[in-house]
Amino acid sequence: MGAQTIDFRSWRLLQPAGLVWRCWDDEYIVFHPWSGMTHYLDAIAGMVFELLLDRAATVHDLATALAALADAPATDTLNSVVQQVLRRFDAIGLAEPMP
Amino acid sequence: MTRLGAAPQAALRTQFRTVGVRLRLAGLCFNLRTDIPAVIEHVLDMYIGHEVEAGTGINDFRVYVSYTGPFRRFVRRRIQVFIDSDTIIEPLPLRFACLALEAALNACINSTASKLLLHAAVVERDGLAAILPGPSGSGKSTLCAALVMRGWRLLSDEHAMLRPADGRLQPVGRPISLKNESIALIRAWASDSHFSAIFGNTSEGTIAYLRPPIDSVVRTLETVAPALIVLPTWRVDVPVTLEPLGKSETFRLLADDSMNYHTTQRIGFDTLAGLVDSCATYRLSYGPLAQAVDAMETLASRMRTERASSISATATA
Repeated sequence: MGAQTIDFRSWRLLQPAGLVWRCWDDEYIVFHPWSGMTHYLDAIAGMVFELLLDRAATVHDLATALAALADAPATDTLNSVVQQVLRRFDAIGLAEPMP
Repeated sequence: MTRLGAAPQAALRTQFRTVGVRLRLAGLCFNLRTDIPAVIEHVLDMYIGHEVEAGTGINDFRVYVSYTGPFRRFVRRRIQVFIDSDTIIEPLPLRFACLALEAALNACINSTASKLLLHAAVVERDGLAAILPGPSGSGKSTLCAALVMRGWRLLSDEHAMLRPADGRLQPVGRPISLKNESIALIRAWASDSHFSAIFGNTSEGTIAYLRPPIDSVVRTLETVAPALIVLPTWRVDVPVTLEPLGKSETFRLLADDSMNYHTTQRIGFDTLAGLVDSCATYRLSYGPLAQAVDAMETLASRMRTERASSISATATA
């Protein structure tokens, strides 16, 4: 595997005012009105979603915030997990990198 | 309006064969027409407490169970079912005619767009409604039948119909479909149970329908707020266990097994999320039926007590 490209872009939710969700048992269930899809977000994806509800953020910002919540260091692994979550959000039309 | 059992039976038999009988089910009007004697007798026996509407009027669905051709009533007899003139069940042997009618009624209810439809049995006692979701074979219909024969009101053994406007459950009140060992089990459980003919050698084994108690049928206009979701799982010789079921998992199970969640969009999400928010959620594993019924009775009793205490505390605050 090659070295992972670092993503310095800020990410934001797409039209967050139209999203509806519930959070139960640390899992977010998000209904996406434009696709009509329901997305089930696990604990980490749910926390990324919750942080993006507040404001746009970079991978580094999000990993740092998650690490603080878990009282753990922001490792490269965590950065990589956040990046994968954001790519998935992008694929399903939930979030996008800001220009 | 008159109940089917109180209407002149000979005239009804003629009406089934000619213009059809207009039967009210789940708040809908079905025009049922058939020239097949077994189907006529099945409806007269199983839907005895349902209301029939006289004359003409708006039919939500027209269901016609017929022989496949003029000679098929005599030779290698086969039937087909039409809903609103479209064939929805292709030719089947005559012995499946009653099952085909019940399947057609399910299809009609499944196409009702104004409610969120979950694949679940629903029962109610003293204002506490319990939704029992689960696929075929999970034991939900058996548990539903056992509770109903112990005095719970039957809303449905197949469809939990939720009104989006207020989240209340619309009763359906149709016969309970039981399969294989469950038929003998419920016969032994309740000596006053009344069954349809038994239909053997189907793709799901042996099937029979349990006639709903008249009280449940008479109260089909009384909606009720859901309070409890219990996911039953039947396994041979397993002692009863009742444990909390996560809300998120409950939502996913109900959405995945819903007839129309994925087409009802935002309304479906809000209705289902509101349901899960408002209900206590459990998983019930059971073997002996009596233990499962006891567990449900105990849980419901505890919830009623908690509800009464909560109301009392609010009133005195």
